Amino acid sequence: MAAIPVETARVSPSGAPQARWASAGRLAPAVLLAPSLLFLAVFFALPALTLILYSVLTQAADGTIGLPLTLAHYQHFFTTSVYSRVLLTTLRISLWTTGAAALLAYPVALVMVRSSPFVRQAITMIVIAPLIVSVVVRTYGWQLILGNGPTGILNWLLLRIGLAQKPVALLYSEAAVVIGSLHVFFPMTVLPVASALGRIDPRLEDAARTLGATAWRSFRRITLPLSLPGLAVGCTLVFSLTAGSFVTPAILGGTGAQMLGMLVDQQILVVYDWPFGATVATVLVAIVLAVNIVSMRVLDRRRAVQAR
Amino acid sequence: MSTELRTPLAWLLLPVTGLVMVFILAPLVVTVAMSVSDTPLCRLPAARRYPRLVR
Repeated sequence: MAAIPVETARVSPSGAPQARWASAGRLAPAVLLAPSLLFLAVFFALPALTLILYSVLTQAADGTIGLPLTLAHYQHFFTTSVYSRVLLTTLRISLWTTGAAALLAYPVALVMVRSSPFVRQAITMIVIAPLIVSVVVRTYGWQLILGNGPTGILNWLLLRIGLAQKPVALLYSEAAVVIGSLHVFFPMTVLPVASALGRIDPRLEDAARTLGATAWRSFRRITLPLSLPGLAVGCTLVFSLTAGSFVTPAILGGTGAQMLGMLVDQQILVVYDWPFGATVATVLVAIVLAVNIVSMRVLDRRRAVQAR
Repeated sequence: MSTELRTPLAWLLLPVTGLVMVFILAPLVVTVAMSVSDTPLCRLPAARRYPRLVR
């Protein structure tokens, strides 16, 4: 139906209707994007900008926040050893979790993709099972398992089989936060890796094997390089989510493994120092953003090299 | 099944996957087990060796 006016417009001597259609065509993407852009502006950009603005404002003695603008909060954050330690703990826990997730997710994803439909479905169900249970419930489950006394399930097991002579202090440590975070964010690594592995043409590996490559060589030269984008996406997701997590470090880390998310909560809800809380949150967002940008750049460069 | 899972090296993936499955299910199973337990605390037999820690 739309073809008739366009044809008419093409033969019109003035050319004005054709120009109108062309401009309407140019506007269409903007009109279609407007609702999502508006949503992002109101619910993402505005709070993020407010957060950044708060981090450079000054809080008076009576608690009011306003001018003058200052970078003193950032200076305070980066020059105080306690906060630098929290930042390093956050980075350390996030890196350990990401590394462990990558190491464990790859074999699981490989078995998931290369198994019979029944095994694949069973693994998929188990991998996504934690996503349908609240993170608080899962973390309390870990608290029961990692309990420091002999009543902790893992300690009970270690004592029973004679691997430990006395209960091991697992809870309220960085290791406990890594274990809890790994459990919470594990599906975020497995699913992108499985998706990347599933897209690899099996004929490529068959061709390599036919040409005399061993299974290990074919994995190292074909499967692994082609699945790296999925692994990179999974690692970026796990790093970003772990760095910003609050529930898991609060329940499993306590004061033994304080992370930036807990510091933000403490500064805003306990100390009522909103500008400093906003500063910590901005630093956290900046770290996560930097990791995401680097990951995207690496993936883009890789894609460009592969396209050549 | 692909050729990769038939090689001896590939069979190593299966125990790793099994352990990861146990790791994923452990806190969920423990939580469900606690919900049907008749004790208010998680009390296991080894606790008898440390009487002071048990209420």
